[in-house]
Amino acid sequence: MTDALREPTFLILTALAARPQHGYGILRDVEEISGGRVQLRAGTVYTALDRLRTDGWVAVDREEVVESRLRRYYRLTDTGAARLEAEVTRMRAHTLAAEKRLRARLAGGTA
Amino acid sequence: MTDLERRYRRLLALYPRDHRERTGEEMLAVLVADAGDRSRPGWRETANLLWAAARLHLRRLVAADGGVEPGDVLAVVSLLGPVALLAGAAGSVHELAWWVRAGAVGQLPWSEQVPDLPVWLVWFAVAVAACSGGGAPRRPAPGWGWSVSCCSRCSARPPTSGSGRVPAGCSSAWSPRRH
Repeated sequence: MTDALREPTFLILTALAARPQHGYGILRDVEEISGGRVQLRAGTVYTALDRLRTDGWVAVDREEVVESRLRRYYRLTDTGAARLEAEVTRMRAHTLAAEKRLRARLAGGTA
Repeated sequence: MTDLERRYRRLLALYPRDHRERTGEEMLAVLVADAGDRSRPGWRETANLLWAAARLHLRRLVAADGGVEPGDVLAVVSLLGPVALLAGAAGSVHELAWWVRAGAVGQLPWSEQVPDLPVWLVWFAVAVAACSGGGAPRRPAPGWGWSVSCCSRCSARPPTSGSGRVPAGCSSAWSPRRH
């Protein structure tokens, strides 16, 4: 059984799930995905990307130079997508269990 | 180059060399874009970058792929040296506070009030050399720091509890040397 992903890792993989993104795009997308609750910083994102690249979950898609600054796009690999899917399944199972028990609590009164 | 960029470059210089070469310029672009109107890095951003640099150094140290850079090892050792000494200094400060509370600080020789002072001074010089970015004193500085620390520890006298320096009215069992 695989360990649960940490929240920043989960959010970075989610940000890359639909399309390749550059570092700043990941920062902004994570903020949007979390409804503004999570604001990752560059140090955290690039430490995570370093590890995700080593694990083969994320790869460099392409590079651009915009206003004389390097912009590198990252994409989710098939391995990364499979890991994210496994995490979503795990979280869904937990969420369903919590919902079920909350409904039982409301139906049968508080314990 | 703006002042903000220069400050970020200084922080990014603390990252492992391979990471810096691969993503340094890219990170700088993200940091500058995320800074908005700021003219200097915020303390949260600075703390985050320092913490991330330490984690990346540590990850490379424990990596089993053999790709450990000697320079990175030196950088981590340089960082841990002062931290370890400061942890040790807490005991000395506590001891000094005990003598002050006992009203006997005048009885304690100066060299025993701050026994690690020479080592602290050397590590302070190491920190200055490391932060200055100068090439010549930077590389051997941590080596000097550790050498002086080791010599200081090896030549330290054993504890001398109950040796007569304990103020009158104080049990030798509560001598600060026994802490």
